[in-house]
Amino acid sequence: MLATVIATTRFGSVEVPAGDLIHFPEGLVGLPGNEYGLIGAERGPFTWLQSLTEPEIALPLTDPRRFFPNFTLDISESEGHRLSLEPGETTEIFVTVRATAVATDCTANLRAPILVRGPAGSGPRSAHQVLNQAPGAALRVPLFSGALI
Amino acid sequence: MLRIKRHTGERIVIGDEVVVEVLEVRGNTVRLGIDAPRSVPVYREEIWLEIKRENEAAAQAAELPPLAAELDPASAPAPGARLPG
Repeated sequence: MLATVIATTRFGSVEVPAGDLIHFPEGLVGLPGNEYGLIGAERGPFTWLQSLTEPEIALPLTDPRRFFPNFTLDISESEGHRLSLEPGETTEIFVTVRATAVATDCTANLRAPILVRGPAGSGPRSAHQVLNQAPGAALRVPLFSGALI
Repeated sequence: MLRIKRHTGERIVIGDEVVVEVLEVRGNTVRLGIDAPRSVPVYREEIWLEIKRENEAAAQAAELPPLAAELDPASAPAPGARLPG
């Protein structure tokens, strides 16, 4: 599969397979650019969402269900309509992680998950940062709180 | 900032595609209706600011701290998340 080589400040020059390229039509709030790539998904609990155009922009992501077994994503009807989400559509859900020097202080943003459309590796895929209406889906939930969301 | 006086039921058009209508005014609360294209997400400002702040903070991570295997609820293939190996 064709790979895109991108420059990053954290990881040097990295090859991103086409299946891991992510297009955000509306971008990410507060961050530049619409084109990102997933790096390191196979290496453990965290994946990096790396900007293809801004070498210094990368966000750690994780699968919320890995840390919050009861995690649910509840998207408002108007947002679901805006994104034309189909019932049963295949998506991957990630949340951003606010990393700290000590692992136990890391928090996850369950309030604004990232919805990547299509099955893993089928990219380039489109993605949206959505607003989670589920009760308890807060902005900074400690990753290791064992919180039952 | 542009200031416009509107009555209930009147609208403001922003560009060619965004329409804001004053639906109801009650006390110091105004109910607005917003029509925008699908490509334009609409947020309440305080929520938009929260997401922005959180995204910016997440993007500042130099690297992730090593994650001890016992902290990972799933059996991760690698204990750390430093990249690339």
